[in-house]
Amino acid sequence: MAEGLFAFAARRAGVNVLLLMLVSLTGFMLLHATPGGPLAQFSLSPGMTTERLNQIAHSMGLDQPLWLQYVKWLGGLLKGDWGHSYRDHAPVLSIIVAHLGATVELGLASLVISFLGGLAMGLIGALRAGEAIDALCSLVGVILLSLPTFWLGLVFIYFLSVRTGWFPAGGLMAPGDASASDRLRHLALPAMTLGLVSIPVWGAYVRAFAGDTLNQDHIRTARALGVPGWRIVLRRVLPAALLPLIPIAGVYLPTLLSGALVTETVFTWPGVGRLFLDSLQYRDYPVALGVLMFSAVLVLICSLAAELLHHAADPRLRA
Amino acid sequence: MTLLAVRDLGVDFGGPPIVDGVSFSMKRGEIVALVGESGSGKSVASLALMGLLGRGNVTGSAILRLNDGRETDLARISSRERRGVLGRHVSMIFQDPLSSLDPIQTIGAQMREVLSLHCGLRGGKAQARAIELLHEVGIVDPQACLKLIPQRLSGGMRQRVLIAMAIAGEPELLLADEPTTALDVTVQAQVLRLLLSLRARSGMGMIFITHNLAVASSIADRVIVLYAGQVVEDAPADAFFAAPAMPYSKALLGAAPGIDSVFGARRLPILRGQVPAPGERGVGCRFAPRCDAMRPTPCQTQMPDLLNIADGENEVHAVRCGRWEELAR
Ligand SMILES: Nc1ncnc2c1ncn2[C@@H]1O[C@H](COP(=O)(O)OP(=O)(O)OP(=O)(O)O)[C@@H](O)[C@H]1O
Ligand code: SF4
Ligand SMILES: [Mg+2]
Repeated sequence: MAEGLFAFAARRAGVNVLLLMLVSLTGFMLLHATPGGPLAQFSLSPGMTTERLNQIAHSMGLDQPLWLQYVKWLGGLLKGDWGHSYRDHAPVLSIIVAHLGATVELGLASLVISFLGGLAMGLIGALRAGEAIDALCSLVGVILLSLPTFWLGLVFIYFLSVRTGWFPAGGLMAPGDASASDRLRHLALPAMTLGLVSIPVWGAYVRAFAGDTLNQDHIRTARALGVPGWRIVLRRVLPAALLPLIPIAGVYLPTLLSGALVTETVFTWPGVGRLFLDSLQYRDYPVALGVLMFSAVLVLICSLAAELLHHAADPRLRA
Repeated sequence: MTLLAVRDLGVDFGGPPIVDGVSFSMKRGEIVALVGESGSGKSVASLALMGLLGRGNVTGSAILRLNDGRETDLARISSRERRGVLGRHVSMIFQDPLSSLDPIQTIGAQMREVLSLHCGLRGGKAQARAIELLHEVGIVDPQACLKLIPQRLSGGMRQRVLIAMAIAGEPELLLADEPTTALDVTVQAQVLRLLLSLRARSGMGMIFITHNLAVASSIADRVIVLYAGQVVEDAPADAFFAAPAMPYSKALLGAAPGIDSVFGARRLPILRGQVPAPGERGVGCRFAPRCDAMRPTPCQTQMPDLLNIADGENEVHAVRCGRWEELAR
């Protein structure tokens, strides 16, 4: 069994390396294909001369053949040298890490909201299938799903911040206030915004998986043996619905990194999504490319971790 | 001593009745085979007896007399009462032993759940009792079995595990809906022998649903034939296999030669035509369209009653056929 798992992990790791190569190559090529190329940022500065531009290009190695530049960049990635920002010359990796905390905080908080909400909604729908409350749950789901994130964020800001002053309208924390309660108050609105719109996604999965399980023969057997309904839900329906959610969560989690982009913008939340947007705006290509590679690595790590976890959690896969 | 008295049991799901005026009774420790073609309502009737259908779908009564003398109407049971009765006084096993066990819990976890519910056993005591029960149903290495998930067991072993779980609460009545149909012939015979030995030891009554007349003849004390949702013959097994009175039963037996000695896999023989669907039943005898002995009157004009034609005072041999007397001559 351990060997099977090892072989599986090794095979997956091989595929992942190939995928990363592909992402890095595409990203690199796209960057050099954009109008102005990597030097766009500099050529826009007032008083820039061609001579000076060539000098910069030379100092940054941009006059070398493309393939050599790519290989050097790739080698740097592996060594942990992800290049330097065009804006302030800070190392790309440390910039990303500096923005990661805020994104993870927002991502996890919204995940808790959307997952618990979706679990409740999906279970109610499955257990009361075909009844009015099931229809109500689907309706609420469709409404939440169709809400544009930025609109919902603005509504929250208007009603819960501007009008009432209950919550701050944006930012990570009040300047000079490092208390946990202040951070939570800042987190509340963006987490709610991002969480609410994802509730129906989890809800639909839970509704489907729990519904499938409820129709299975072993549920009928449990009822015929006098097992109380709440116990059936807790011991049989819930685990059966949660297991297939593990690989889905592995795909979903990394999308929070980029998916939070709109929310991070509306609430001026200094996360990785904002960083990506800003770096594109400033044509800070090393950072943009860095974020791209970072998300790609994260996607692969998360899906691999989720599959390993799934293998460990589902006894049927441990044959 | 009556164990179960079913009176006028009916089931519908909003449309025409699926099960219609079913009445029979059975004694303690008796094994009743419920036979009939596919779609005749056997499974629906048994689910109604378990109180597993919505109360709004079920009419009539099914009085179960418990060991302690209390009586409970299975057709009208509340969900709270049901939990006290199911698994403890009435249990059920089903056809497909793979899908009838939770695929992601070990056998041990599933058995301990039932043992804690019905016997108040936990921890080491539950473990010991689980091993005892698995041993009783003929599982060779109970300790190892408890650690496995259902996927790792053969079909026969799964059905044994389900039987062990069903008898854990020492029920007075076991409903078995085609418990051997999914198993191959040798395993089928082993499971039948197991059920017979359990009955001999504990005296539990059994309603055994089957397509298979050979199986019915090897296990049943009584045979009840269901046709289009109705009981059409209800007879002691000897009398049924020796001299069935209803043309439908005769047709079934006539097309299945040599059934009485076989522990075989022969299924109900194919008769010409089909069981009429619940919405397509005429006013007369429901078997009339397929009956060789049919006469327009009375067969197509009047629904025959279920008549007791037994000679003895306390015996039951009931038949639903307007011409049974003529045909018996
Ligand atoms: N929940 C339900 N709603 C509506 N109709 C149902 C339902 N369950 C069963 N039926 C119908 O009731 C009829 C009898 O079904 P049932 O399963 O009791 O037959 P059966 O005698 O057990 O047949 P088989 O030998 O194939 O198991 C069928 O026509 C079936 O379609
Ligand atoms: S009543 Fe008529 S049709 Fe029905 S079984 Fe008897 S003889 Fe056949
Ligand atoms: Mg059936």
